[in-house]
Amino acid sequence: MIEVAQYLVSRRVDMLYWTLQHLQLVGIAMGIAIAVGVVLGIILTRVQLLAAPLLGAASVIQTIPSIALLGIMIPLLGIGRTPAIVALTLYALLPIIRNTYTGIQQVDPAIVEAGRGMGMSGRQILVMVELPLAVPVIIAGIRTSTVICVGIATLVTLIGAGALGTPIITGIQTYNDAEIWAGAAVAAGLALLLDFLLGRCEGALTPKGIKATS
Amino acid sequence: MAMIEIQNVTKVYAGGVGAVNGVTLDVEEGETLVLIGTSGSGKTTLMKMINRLIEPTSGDIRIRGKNISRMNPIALRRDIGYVIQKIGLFPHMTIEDNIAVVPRLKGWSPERRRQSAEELLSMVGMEPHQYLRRYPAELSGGQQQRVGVARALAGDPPIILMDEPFGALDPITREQLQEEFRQLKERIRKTIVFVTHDIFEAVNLADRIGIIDEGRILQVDRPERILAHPADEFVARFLGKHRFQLEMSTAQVKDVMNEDAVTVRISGHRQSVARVVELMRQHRVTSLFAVDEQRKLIGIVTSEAVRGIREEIGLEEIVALDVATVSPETDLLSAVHVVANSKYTALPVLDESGRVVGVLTASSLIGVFADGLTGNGGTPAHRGVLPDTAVRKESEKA
Repeated sequence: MIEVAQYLVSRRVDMLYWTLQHLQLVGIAMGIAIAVGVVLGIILTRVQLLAAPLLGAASVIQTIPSIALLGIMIPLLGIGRTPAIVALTLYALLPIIRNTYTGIQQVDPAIVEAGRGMGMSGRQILVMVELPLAVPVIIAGIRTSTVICVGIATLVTLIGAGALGTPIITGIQTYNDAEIWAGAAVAAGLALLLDFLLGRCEGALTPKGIKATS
Repeated sequence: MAMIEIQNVTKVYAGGVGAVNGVTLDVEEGETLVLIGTSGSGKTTLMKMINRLIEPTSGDIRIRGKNISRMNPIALRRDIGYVIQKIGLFPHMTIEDNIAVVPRLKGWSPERRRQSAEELLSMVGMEPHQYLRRYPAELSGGQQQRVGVARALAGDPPIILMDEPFGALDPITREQLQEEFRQLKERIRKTIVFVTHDIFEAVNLADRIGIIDEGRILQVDRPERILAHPADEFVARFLGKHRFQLEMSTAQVKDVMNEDAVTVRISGHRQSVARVVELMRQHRVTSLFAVDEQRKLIGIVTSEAVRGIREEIGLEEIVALDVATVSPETDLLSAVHVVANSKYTALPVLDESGRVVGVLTASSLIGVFADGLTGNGGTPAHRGVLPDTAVRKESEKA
């Protein structure tokens, strides 16, 4: 423990740099994944035929070992931040697409029918009814993706994208347990922190009326 | 011109369940037409074609003469109120926002929306300031469907479609909402198409009932006429064992009462007891009603009360005031209960100003039952299953 603390103090500038790098990679990847994932999730609810193949494809990506996916990226996109962000985005997509899709699908059909019967257009039903009611499920998907992303981002140092994996990998190579622990602890703390913050967002964004029921 | 004209409308489904088969039907402005049938009979399909939630395979539907297939479905639906069995309130919206959905879609100002939400909520019997800011989950099922009805009325649509709106409620709440709705529809005078599988609900709420089976309308008529003259065996079977009870609930006191109630005037010069006894003997009755000079009821004088009385006693001293009364519009089912709980075997029938317009006796009600039990008329299928009663008499008179 003491060695870990000593490491964190002595390398605080590096640690801060890696942490920020980590946050930035996760942030960009999550931003893209949310934008793409929510839109894709919505599209799947409108074009049901696509749902099975697209969710299947996203699951397949999820099953590729992360180290392998990073390796696959190298011939396509080289090394550095770009392939790292692409890989993280791909991993983050599935929970977001799936939760957006199921979140909208699980809205009571009676409620949607009431909206249609009252003269809401498809877009109005989506914006006024389906999305607000799917918010808790969508944010749950985003939370899952974020935690996955923070974890996988510790590996992107292998393709030269830095971040909190750097001390971990160096630690493994140099038999320096303190260095491994330091990187792991900060990465884990980061995951917990982001999950907590998103939990607060979920509370704030969930419509009041559906909180009353749960 | 009828408000809604359904012309030769057919909807074909692969499995056949819920299909509609060449239906032609007019719904008049301001009437409540109840479509009744078993599940899968096509009643809901037929109703949903009116707001184009379902498109017909062939045939035309016109509203005020305009073919709805040429109208924008979104705009069409905003002018047709819609109440569904599962209530379907938006759980994330307050009661006010739920009621104001159509006004909002129509672009009303927030003040106007609020005002109309308040009015509508009080119209369905809920205190606006107590409920406007609440959420659906905080309300009971009955309250939720009251809001559902208010929501359908928002934006003042001329037509309202109701798809088994009270079907999911417990029996007591259901009956209460039916009664409230019966009174509400008299006030708002909308054209209402109401789908149900509950024959009591249909008889209670309908101006006309349309009986539908396997996508065809078997009979459309006023409830009492359908009960008296079922078009065919299916309809008779559908009414089934409830038929007698249904007829009792549609027949009214005025159909069976005796209009020549024996009365004695109490004011002016004193009526002697001897005169009362004379009247009773003359009319072969055991009781008569004491009235004032406007024929308004004061009480009842029975033969037991006058027995052994010396002549000097004024009539007002032997008049019993605790007599139960009915109105000409009271349905027979309720009247039977009143008679059963009454001390006297004759009930005065009073108009709205309290004047005696007739007398309902236990024996006249027994006559109705006797007619029902002996089974005069009706189709062989239900002969002996308590068929026609006073309703038949009434329609023959007409």
